[in-house]
Amino acid sequence: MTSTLTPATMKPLVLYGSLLGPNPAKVGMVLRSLGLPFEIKEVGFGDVKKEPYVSVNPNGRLPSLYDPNSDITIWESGAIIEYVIETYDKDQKISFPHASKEDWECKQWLYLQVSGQGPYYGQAWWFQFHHPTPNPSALERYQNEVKRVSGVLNKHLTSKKFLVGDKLTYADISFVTWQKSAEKMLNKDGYEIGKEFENVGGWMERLRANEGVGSVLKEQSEGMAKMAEASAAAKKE
Amino acid sequence: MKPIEIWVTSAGPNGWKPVIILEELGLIYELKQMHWEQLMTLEYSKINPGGKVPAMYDPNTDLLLWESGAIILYLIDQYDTEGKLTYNTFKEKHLLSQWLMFQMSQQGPMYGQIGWFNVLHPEKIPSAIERYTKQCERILRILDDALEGKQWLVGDKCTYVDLSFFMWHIVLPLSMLYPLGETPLTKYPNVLAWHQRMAERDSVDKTVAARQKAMDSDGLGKSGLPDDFSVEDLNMKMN
Repeated sequence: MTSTLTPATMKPLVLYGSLLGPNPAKVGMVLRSLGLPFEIKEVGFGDVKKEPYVSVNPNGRLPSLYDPNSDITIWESGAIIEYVIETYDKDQKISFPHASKEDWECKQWLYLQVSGQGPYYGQAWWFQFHHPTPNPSALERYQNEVKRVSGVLNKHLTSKKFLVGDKLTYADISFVTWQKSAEKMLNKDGYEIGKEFENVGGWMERLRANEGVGSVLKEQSEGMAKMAEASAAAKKE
Repeated sequence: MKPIEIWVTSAGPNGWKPVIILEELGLIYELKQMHWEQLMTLEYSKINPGGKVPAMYDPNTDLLLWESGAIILYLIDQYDTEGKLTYNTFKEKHLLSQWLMFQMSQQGPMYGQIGWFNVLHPEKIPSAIERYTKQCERILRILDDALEGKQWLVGDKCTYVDLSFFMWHIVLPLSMLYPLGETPLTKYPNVLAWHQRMAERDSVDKTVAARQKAMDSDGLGKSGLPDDFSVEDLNMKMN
């Protein structure tokens, strides 16, 4: 079915969610790394938990992916990444052969990302920027967890360039957007998380240099700058 | 076949998730019961640098793996040759992956946070408790809607994905401070029926009993906490 499809012949994938959000951007980086065509369908914050989007994803979150080449809709960024890799990375550009040891290790790290990095860094973000009342002990709990997970990555990356084997895989890519959020949350008053966890700092630099990753990060910066300009202009009026 | 080694703690629900699968597939395994303080040691970090349970070593393939979801997928891929608990058809395969990711990224972490803020956090923070209570209710509602008119989450049979949700629903009533014997699942009839359907399976029954036995040996009783438990003590040990 999909084995004869190439980026030139396939219909573009549909990615629900903006590249400004960490989880859709995660998927965007994998798609770009494989050179796959896709179009973005933005869904506003006010619309995610309503129809028509909840018929796409009953969990009411972003991203979701629709593949018109196989008429499949998937949500959960981890499952989307697994689907894309299995269906479109037949040459193992950013993955390893199915059921090899390295393949299982990639899954292991991806599952740490979806269960142990994203949700916990997300709670830190919530208590720092969004919770209605300041909650120092809750914030501290999650900031400690950000550092703990960064420490786990840091130790594993001692004298290694990438998480699994000797090449960049979807497992490495999956950690970038939330690790960047950690920098935003914690890098201030002279502290830099990439300096406390040097191996992670070096790894992030290597990943940023990758075309698929770098192009999405660039779009994120440009998008954030535009939003900041628009918000400053609105304030003046 | 040499026994598969699996590291668990007595009370933690994640360790027992793969045990249900091992039982379903009739595999020989050896439980390595750890105390949670041992998980932070250098020795255990060689098994799982993430410092959590479960971890698994399969001597038949010389594979060491952590993350409950990866372990479950490996056991299914390697040993469920008849497809008892899975589908190999295109759509169903990816829907299984989707729901497994939902279990790992949302059910586990959010149910875990309500347990933390209700029982283990040094101070009671009403707004945090409210936040995570709402998250748990949101997740239960999504599961309830998904199970409307259906027995199982994907297709028409019990799969590894349905079973992956079970253990956290054993722990949730205590995490949400329900009296012993009562459960928040009562408000979500499809989820309750699904949970009870799974509870009747031999594999689940055996796993729940094994976990309770392990908790008894740790002096934890049904609450999952020692009789002389104190929050201050716990936080001192963790820091």
